[in-house]
Amino acid sequence: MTGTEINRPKSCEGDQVDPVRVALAGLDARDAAEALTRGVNDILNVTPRMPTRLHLRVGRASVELEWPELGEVPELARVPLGAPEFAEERLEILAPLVGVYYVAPEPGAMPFVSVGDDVEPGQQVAIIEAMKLMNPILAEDHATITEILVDDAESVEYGQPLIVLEPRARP
Amino acid sequence: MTTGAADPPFHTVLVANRGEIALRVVRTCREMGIRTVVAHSTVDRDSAAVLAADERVQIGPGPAKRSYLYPPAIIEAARRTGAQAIHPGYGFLSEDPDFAEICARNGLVFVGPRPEVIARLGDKAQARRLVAETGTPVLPGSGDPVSSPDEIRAVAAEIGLPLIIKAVAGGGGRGMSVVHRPEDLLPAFRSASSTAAAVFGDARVYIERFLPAARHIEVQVLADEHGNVIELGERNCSVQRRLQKLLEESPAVGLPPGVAERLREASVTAARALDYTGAGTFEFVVSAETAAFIEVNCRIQVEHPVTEMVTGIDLVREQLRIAAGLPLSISQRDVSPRGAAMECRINAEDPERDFAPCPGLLTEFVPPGGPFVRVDTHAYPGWRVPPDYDSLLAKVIVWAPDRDQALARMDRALAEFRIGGPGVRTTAGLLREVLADPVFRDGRYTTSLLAERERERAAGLPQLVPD
Repeated sequence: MTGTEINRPKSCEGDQVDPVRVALAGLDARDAAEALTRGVNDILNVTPRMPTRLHLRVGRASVELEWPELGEVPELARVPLGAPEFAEERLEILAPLVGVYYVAPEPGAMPFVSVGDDVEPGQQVAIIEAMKLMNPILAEDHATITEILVDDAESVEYGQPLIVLEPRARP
Repeated sequence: MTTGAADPPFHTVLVANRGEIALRVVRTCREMGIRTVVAHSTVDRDSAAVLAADERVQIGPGPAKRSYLYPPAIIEAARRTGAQAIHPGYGFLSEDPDFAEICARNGLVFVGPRPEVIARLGDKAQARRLVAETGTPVLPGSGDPVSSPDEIRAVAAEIGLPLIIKAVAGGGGRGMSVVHRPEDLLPAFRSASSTAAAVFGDARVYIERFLPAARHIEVQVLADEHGNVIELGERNCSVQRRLQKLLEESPAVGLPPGVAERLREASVTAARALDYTGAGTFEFVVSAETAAFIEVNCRIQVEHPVTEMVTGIDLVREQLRIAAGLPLSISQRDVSPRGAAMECRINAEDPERDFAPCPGLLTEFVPPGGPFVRVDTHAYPGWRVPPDYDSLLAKVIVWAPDRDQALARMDRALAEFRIGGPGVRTTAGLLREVLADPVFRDGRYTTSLLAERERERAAGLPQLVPD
């Protein structure tokens, strides 16, 4: 949907002393990110439709927005963004094939993941066995596991939800 | 569950197909007291076969490569549902010897011939040679696959033009190319070879003499594991558009005397020699001078209901019995074809856009009914014809005591059929033109009938319009 590019304020740019940069120098990256997120929210609250691209910059304060051509994309329902709402977004890992779901690399071993674990893209979260081939199931996002929907050794079909996750901000 | 016959050959059968044939197989299973599982793609989750089945397993996304053509998903679906056998229908994995072998290794019965028989006959060049050895004539041709321009020039010089280039791994009319002029030979060879590689994963092609004014006649056989081989008469499948069948009938009319009998005998002899088991079809081309074998289809065919209507024998039922190791429930003496039957294929294709498939929503779908009319279809009003698969919407099959009545009945049935939806066009109109065509009506038609009519139309000659 929207992508926000968060740039760290650069320490020197141009010859003149920029008062904004002086003020920003006191902020750490986390505060700057929060300021930007608030900025994004403020902008989205007054725009008529969801933009396809949004670029903010704090040093020399630039804002760029892009919308789809009229009629190109149906109008999207406004989705409020922001830190607390972010947490309600739900991600699911779906079974990419028919087979038997396994939570651990071998019987009795520690499970790959449990509820509450943080996962990274590419991290193995389960196995689906199809025709004696062990197919690793990998996480695709930086996220926290909130629910595991399938029991060990249960058979699953294509497209079946396996694990529910909650996205985390990228480190 | 079901109130079927006592002692079904299997308790659970998985149907690894879609569309009308999946529903067709489910129906016979239901009658036999067999529990059915339909393996389906995401696109087919609301299909008629899925709704009719006792159980369903979603095996993959719309593209067939990842669902209906993906053996691991199908085997897993069979394992998790306790299926004992897999019915592959037609197309997809139905003639794939590797899949038949995978089934066997996983303790599942593949409803079809043994893997090695499918492999032998699936290599069309080898099948030609094997059948020729049983004394049945084959068309002059390359015998072995040809792989270089020099080879193809030599074969062409020997057998003459026109000739047809076919994929060794092909079938169903796909991957074929007819060459009429010497200068077209090499381009056609290259294009047939690359099409064969892309569609069948095997670039090898072979060459046969092409008979422009020939009939396409095929013989239905059934063979069990106890050495019983029977034939169930022939079908005339000469109404073809670009090598795709559109209308089939049994018995075949207009053949030189004795030819149909000879082809039926030759098919039984060849099936025995090839160690064939299951339902199969031996295909021949018949012209004024020759009757020659072209290929064997190791599966149930789209047009099988034509044979069922004249013989009263349920071919899917026999397939399942054979697969379970039971003897055929009929002997050759019990096969006495009666009357005339005909099938028309109603495809979702637009005649005005060169018969391009036209998927879309069916807002209206009212199949014909009445005496001796059978409609095999998976479509219903509100169903969306998916763009992912072939365009067959329905098969209309009629039976009558003689061919004239069958023609009248078929025309009546097609006129009754109401199919509508935004952008949805069908072959029904074209089929009614065929039924009215004098050359078709008197049985003199060959595989070039539709091509000739197209040429006449293009040249602005007067046309026949039904009604």
